[in-house]
Amino acid sequence: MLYIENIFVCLVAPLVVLLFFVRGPRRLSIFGVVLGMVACLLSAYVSAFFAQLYGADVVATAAEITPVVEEFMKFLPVVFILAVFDPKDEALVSFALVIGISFATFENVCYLIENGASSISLLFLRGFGTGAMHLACAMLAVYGLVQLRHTTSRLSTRIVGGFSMLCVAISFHELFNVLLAAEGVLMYVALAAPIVTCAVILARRRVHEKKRATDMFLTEPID
Amino acid sequence: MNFIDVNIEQIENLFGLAVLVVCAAMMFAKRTWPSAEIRLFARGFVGAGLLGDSCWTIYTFVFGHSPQYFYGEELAWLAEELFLLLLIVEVYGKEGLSPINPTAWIGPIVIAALSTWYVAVAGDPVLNILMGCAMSGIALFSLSALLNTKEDRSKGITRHTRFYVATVCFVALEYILWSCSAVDGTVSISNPYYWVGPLVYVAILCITLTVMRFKKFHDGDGD
Repeated sequence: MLYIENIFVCLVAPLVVLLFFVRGPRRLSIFGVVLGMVACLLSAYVSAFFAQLYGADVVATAAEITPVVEEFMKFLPVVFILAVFDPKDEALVSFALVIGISFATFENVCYLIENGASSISLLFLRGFGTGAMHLACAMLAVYGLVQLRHTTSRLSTRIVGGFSMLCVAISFHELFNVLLAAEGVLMYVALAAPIVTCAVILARRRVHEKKRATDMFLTEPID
Repeated sequence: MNFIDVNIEQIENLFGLAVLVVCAAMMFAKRTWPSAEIRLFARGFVGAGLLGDSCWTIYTFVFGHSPQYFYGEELAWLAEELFLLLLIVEVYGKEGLSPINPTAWIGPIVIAALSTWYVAVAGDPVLNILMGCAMSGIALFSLSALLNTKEDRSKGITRHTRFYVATVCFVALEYILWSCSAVDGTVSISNPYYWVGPLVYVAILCITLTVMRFKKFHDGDGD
């Protein structure tokens, strides 16, 4: 039996202690790590509840129920921080990505305890694939929120648009889980797709930052 | 995965996927947009639809049946409809606000009646209500824009008529599709569901083509 609560306590305890010793933006990052693990723990309970309610087997739960629950759980703290503290874009994006990655890390720790650590190739793929997938889903959701914040001032539009971006992230996660369940070539496509998605987003971001820096250079007055 | 024994549902899904890939390519290749909001909502509309359809199609090929338990793909389609609603509201506002035509309320009334019937026949009240609300909004603004065309023209407001016609057709075909599925659930070529389904994708293509004509919103840019 997987004592998920015990694993949670063991992983989170040092981080909670650290919270008392750091200040400023680092504290928010560490708090994000804790929240990501809390979200993962709660997702396990809620997924198990719905699986029991609908009588779904393990594969169907992973393919249909888990993506909805997990993305919703990861989205809640981000929306809370956005609504209460209204942080800058960079801080909001970092917070969301930290939650996504700590969620993936906790999930991987539970996977390791349940399945062992003997196959390095499988763990390499799982580690990078699952991590990139949770990162890609978090990026989809939070970049949508940031775009809405800049393009519209209407609260109703932001709420509806934000919910829609969450639905898109859920579908991306579900696509990943369905491809993973397929085995064979599609499993490797599933593991590669989030890594490629993250690489494309990172490249776009670098190009955008370079362009912004060039524009600033060209518009600065020459003495 | 079995690509040999494809059934009519999978053929219809593959057709829809091909149409959505074309629509997404057009939307993401378009460089000039009237506003950042219209760009975000238009791309969200086709992106969400493509993701939902990809997920559904791959699921049916991997597992041999459609999803049974939860809402992953349906949430992507809900996001598709919400993005379309946001797009219509944005376009309507940019063209020039005018009062909602009272006759246009016939759309939401019919949708409410059909949604009630679907809940009675197939259950699933949450998704039916959410989709019904989104579709009611789309129908209301589109029908109002079409019914008010002459009056708006006399006030100097020009509407993108073909865009609104395409969205009304999309809503009507979706509800014909869902009504067919509520009456006949068989997976066979004689089921009208699999004849109306491709028409829905044609309507999405028409919406995309009308959006491609959007330039800056000046007087006389409507059609």
